[in-house]
Amino acid sequence: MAQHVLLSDPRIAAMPVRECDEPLIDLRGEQVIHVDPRLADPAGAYAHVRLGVADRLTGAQTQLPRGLRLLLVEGYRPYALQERYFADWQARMRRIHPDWTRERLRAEAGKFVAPPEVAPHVAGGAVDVTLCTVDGTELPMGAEVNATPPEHGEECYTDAPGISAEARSNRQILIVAMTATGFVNYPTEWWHWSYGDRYWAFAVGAPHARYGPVAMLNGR
Amino acid sequence: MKFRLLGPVEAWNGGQQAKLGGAKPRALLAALLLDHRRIVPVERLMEAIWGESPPTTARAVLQTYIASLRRSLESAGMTGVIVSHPVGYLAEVPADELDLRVFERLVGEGRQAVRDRRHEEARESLRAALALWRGPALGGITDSFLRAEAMRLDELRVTVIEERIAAELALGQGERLLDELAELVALHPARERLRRDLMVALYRADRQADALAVYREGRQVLIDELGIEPGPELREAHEAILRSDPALLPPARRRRLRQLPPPPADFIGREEEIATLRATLTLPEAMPICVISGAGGMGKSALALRVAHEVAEHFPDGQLHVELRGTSDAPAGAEEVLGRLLRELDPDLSRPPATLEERVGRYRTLLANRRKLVVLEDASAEAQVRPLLPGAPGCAVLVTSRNRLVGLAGATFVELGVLPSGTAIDLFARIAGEHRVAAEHDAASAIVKLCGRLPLAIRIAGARLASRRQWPLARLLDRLADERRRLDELTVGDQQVRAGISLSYALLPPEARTALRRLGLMGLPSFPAWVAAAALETDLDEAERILEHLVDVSLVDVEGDDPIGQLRYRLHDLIRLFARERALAEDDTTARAAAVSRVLGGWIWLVERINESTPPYLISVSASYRLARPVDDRVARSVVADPHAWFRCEQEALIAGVELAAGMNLDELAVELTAALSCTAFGGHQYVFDDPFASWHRTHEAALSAARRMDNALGEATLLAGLGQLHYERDSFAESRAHLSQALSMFRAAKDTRGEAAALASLGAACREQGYLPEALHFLDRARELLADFDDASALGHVRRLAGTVRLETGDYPGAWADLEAALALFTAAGSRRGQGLTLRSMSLYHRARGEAARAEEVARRALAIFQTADDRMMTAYCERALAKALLRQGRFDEARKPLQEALAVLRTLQDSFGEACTLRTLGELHLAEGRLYQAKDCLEESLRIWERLRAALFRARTLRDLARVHEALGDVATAERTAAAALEIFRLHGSREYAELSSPGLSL
Repeated sequence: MAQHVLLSDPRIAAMPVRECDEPLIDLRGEQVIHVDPRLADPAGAYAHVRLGVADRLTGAQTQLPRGLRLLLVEGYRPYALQERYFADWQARMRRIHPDWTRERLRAEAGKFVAPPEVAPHVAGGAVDVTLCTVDGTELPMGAEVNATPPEHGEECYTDAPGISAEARSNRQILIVAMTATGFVNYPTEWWHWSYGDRYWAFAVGAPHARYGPVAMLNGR
Repeated sequence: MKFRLLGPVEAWNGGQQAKLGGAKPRALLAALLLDHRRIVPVERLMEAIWGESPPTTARAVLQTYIASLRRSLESAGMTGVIVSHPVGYLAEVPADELDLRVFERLVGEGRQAVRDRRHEEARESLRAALALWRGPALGGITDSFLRAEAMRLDELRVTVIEERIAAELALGQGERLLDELAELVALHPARERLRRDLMVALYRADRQADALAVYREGRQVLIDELGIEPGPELREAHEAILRSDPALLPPARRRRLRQLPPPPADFIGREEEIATLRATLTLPEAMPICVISGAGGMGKSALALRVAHEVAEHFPDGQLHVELRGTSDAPAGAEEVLGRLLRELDPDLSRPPATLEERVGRYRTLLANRRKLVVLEDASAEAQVRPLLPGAPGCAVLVTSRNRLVGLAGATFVELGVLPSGTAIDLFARIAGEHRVAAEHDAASAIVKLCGRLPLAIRIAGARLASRRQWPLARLLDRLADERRRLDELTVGDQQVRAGISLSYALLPPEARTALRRLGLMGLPSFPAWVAAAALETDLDEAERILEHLVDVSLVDVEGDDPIGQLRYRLHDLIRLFARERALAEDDTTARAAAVSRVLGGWIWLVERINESTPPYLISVSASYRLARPVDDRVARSVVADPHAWFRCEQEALIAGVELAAGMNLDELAVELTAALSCTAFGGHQYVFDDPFASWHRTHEAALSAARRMDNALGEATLLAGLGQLHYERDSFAESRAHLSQALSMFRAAKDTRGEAAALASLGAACREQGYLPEALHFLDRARELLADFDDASALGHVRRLAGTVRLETGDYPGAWADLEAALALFTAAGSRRGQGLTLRSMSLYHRARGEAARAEEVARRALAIFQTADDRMMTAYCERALAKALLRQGRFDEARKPLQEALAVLRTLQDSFGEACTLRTLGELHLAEGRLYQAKDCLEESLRIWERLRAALFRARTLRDLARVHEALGDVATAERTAAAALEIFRLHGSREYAELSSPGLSL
């Protein structure tokens, strides 16, 4: 996957969306997928995913070896939050490269943070997940969830060669289960999987995405 | 039974056990009982208790023991058992109250039965004798001469097991004994008889290589441990296996099948070919293969049947007849054919083996050393025939084919050409009438010439004349010549037959012409009259009249009565092709689609009638079948009377029908018929086709591709859900869930909430089956939310009952009870007795888990009554088991035993592995409660083997937990702990309630 397509690629943004209006649901209320609170926001957006994603995660969990569970770190992210992340990155880049144009800044930032309009998390279709045991102990995966460059190296790439054999085999377990249930991985982040969003539609060759940016309503 | 020596020494009066005290009083009682009703001298009793060095006070202590034994027997209501005598004591116990004596009597009867070759009775007596054993004889006494006696008895037990197995082998058993024999051989590696029997059982299960390996291993054991070579019996078995001695095979499996259709009535000529075939087929000590090849209409089939009947007496073991449909669009697959043949050859076969290789292997074993004739008609190519060839001499094979099949090594080939003109005229005369031919001989020979001296063409032309008494032959000749000229311009090949068919067709009344066209369009391998009625949009009587007419003019053949008593018809393939061409030329697309819709609609309707009479226990994806079309009531009645038989005889036609509709892009029709069929097959009916998976798969694949072509998303979702259900039935749960997830997405995208709910419910069930408890609840609860908007109490009840049972597994008792109560109310409102019965049974499990045995009993009895009334044998057995468990918890062992044994027998007959394993486990618990440790171990281990096969981990863990208790009782603490730990780990991984229960302090096993 050396030549993978970035989220900021214009082909992703060009992908049409046929919104299917599936609701966002709170996985904390479902008690089927473990939810990790490290990125918890006050509204609990992080624990939400689209209904179809919840079903697929449940399906993926039955593909894991006995005794393992999926651990959700982040699911839905509101549009405003994604906008802020994206703006922060651009600001960071501008400090280092004050000479870059607006367009250049956007493109470079897009390598690390998805522009809000194509962001999988904003569509409720993406999940950052890892593996844990039934008791909640996380498995070594060779890199922390959200360990992105430039602070971290290439060990966050899904097929990174330099990680331990144990981490590699754990990643393989995750890959098998998620792929079997129709999720698509973003190859620079082993934990990032999505279904139904623009990137997914592009990767599987679907005629259109099923999930576009969505707002979280009260309740579900 | 009051006194027990075959296991721990015990004395019982009714349900009350006497408290015998420690090892010494027990040894004393054992010594008295071994010589019961005889005086046992005091010295011998002392020796039994203390061995060779009794203490000085022995006599006095002995008296105390006697007194205490008497007291404890009396307090259990048994008086006058131990009688004093000047030189010793005597146990006054009737022979039928001492298990050892009963054992000896039963063994005696069993052995007599063996001598009289009454193997079934022998097996039963020996089984009953062995069932008396509860553990090592005399409770594993380790002192004195009693130890020697106990060893003798234990040894006798193994010998009787050997005798019982010998009886089972004589009854034709094999595969079923494998597990037991393997374990016995592992325990007693030097017992040659057991080893020999294991070899025979392996050989019968087509595992010759394993059988030989068992011999080699045994020989090594004997040499290493005893320094001797195997004895003659073992060596002989070895040699017999090496030469595939038929004597090794079970006698019961010899089944004579006579499948040949009747020989053709007016067959003449072909004398030379008959002689060649007869001589070849009856060659002794060979496996002759004869291939009759020739163009269509040459009379290959007639010749084959004629010869087969002639040589039938040379094949006393029977004749098999198979239609390979090589000229049709869907030639028969070898798996399918072998599936059917294996079941017919071996009625004991529960399910044909999965792979083609295994099927071929089994088929060849069944035919080995038999004299059977195998007739394979209409083969397309060598590859289709090869898997159906027997492996060894004794059988003969007769094949018909359009092709020469020169690739069949060693075969004798008979190529049929046209008839010599003399014979051709004779045939014509025989059909049209001798005197008419004699009167117009020249016209007759001209007609026969125009018919190309092809038997089928002559037959059709002759039949035409026979039905037109007033026609002169010359008139037929003219018409036929016209027809030939026209055809010559159109086609090359087959003209002679076609001319005849075409003329005959032209002379038919219009409704018969329409019938023939539509039957050709349907292209079914065979069909009953109602299919013609539906195709013609007329009633059954009229359809029968038209079919009779078509039979009279030789355009339709009668195949015979099918198993539900309908007459079935078929078209010769040349006629079918002709009729199909006419349909494409004369009927427009709408008319053709309408005809196909009416026939498939009839099937859908019939399947609905079956579902009505025995409602499937599934949420159907669609609420109703829009395309169903009523069929004559008489047909519906006979179909509903024996749906199983109907499915079997209609299978080919049903599949062909779905494929036809799919090919015509009638996607909705294909989807509905497929969905209706799969709903029936999976909804508790369990119709076993010859190759059920392949059959359903074919219908699903054909309909699926049509749905995809036509962009019918809902149809696609329905079929994906069907495929999910198909994999579920095959216990391929992961694939099942994958298909169901896809279906779920599509139903959701199409906003079809009913389909979405059905897919969710099935997903939940597929998770539940493998113990994915939180996952199951996720799907089931979601299905429940959706179903709340539907007025379908039964569907909602189904989902809530399933959820209730899952919550019970997780230990969420309030949640479980809320679900189950709601389910019961819903099923009651829906008037679903079955639903109520199932829910009551689940409630019984709930009460048992809560320790409320009496309430568990009460609801189990209510459930039982429902299924007994409904005559549902399987669920009755399940409820018997639930009831037995409730009784067992209350210590009412005697009441529990018989229903459990009956339930086990029923579930075995029905081949319900899940129920069998459950019941074996409960039987194991009963044996354990009553102290029959060996039987408990046997039952639980057998149950474990089934769970392993079913990959049902939670059930396996529960059985392991019980087995741990048995090991503990047998004194094998290490194994008990290991087994319990394995169970606990499984409970932990699944998050089931037992983990919390077992791991909390204060609760041991």
